[in-house]
Amino acid sequence: MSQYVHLVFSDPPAGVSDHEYNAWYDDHVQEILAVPGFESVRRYAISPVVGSEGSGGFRFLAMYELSCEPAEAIAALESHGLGSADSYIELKDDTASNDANQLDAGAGGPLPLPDWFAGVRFGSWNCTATGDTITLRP
Amino acid sequence: MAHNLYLVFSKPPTGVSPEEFHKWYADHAQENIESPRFASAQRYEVRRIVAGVEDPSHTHLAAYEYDGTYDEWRDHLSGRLQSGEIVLPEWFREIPFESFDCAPVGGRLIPQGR
Repeated sequence: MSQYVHLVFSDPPAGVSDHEYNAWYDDHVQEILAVPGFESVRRYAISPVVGSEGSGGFRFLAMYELSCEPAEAIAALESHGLGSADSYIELKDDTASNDANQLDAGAGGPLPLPDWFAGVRFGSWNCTATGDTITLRP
Repeated sequence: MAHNLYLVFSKPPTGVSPEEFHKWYADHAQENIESPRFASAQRYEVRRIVAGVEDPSHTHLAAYEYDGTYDEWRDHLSGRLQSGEIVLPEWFREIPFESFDCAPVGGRLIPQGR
């Protein structure tokens, strides 16, 4: 596993199917992976096991592998307007009100903001490895 | 096929130094993955930022990759604890834990066109 990781837990709002949420999220991660430092992502469906009552009932996890320290990657994310849910909504509002941006936006065009996006709950963590990956002893 | 993931957030309990905690956890993680179906473990220092403020409820993450089902290794680990093969420190029950079992949704995604 990567030495630097950014974890994003999330919970879609009621009424959004897992299929719709996952389809949007798979497209959304490409917006994140365009930012320097974000190398790859794995997505998971999660179940709380121990002591998770207070954690907010997150149901999905995106685990980004970083090529630099998390603080540096997050600063880059913020400079692209992707640092928070609020800035992401602003970014999408700006894009939607500017036709020129839409025409310039590459294959497939920009990803539209789902009308349920503001209802998604997020929680994120920055992780720095304390040592090498532990594997089975020979 | 991507591995399943078991994430365990924690922090040293009151009275246990970070050094003592880390030394124990390194051995603990190695010991854990000797039960069946584990592929690897990785430990991290973690920071959670909520609205610009650091949430100090957990400072450590152990991420275990495994195959098969959670029950397979959970039952095996319980057996090793009961037999006395694994001995936990007396402060183990004071550790604030939070854990998640994670099943892959699709594979690893990389930037399109890279």
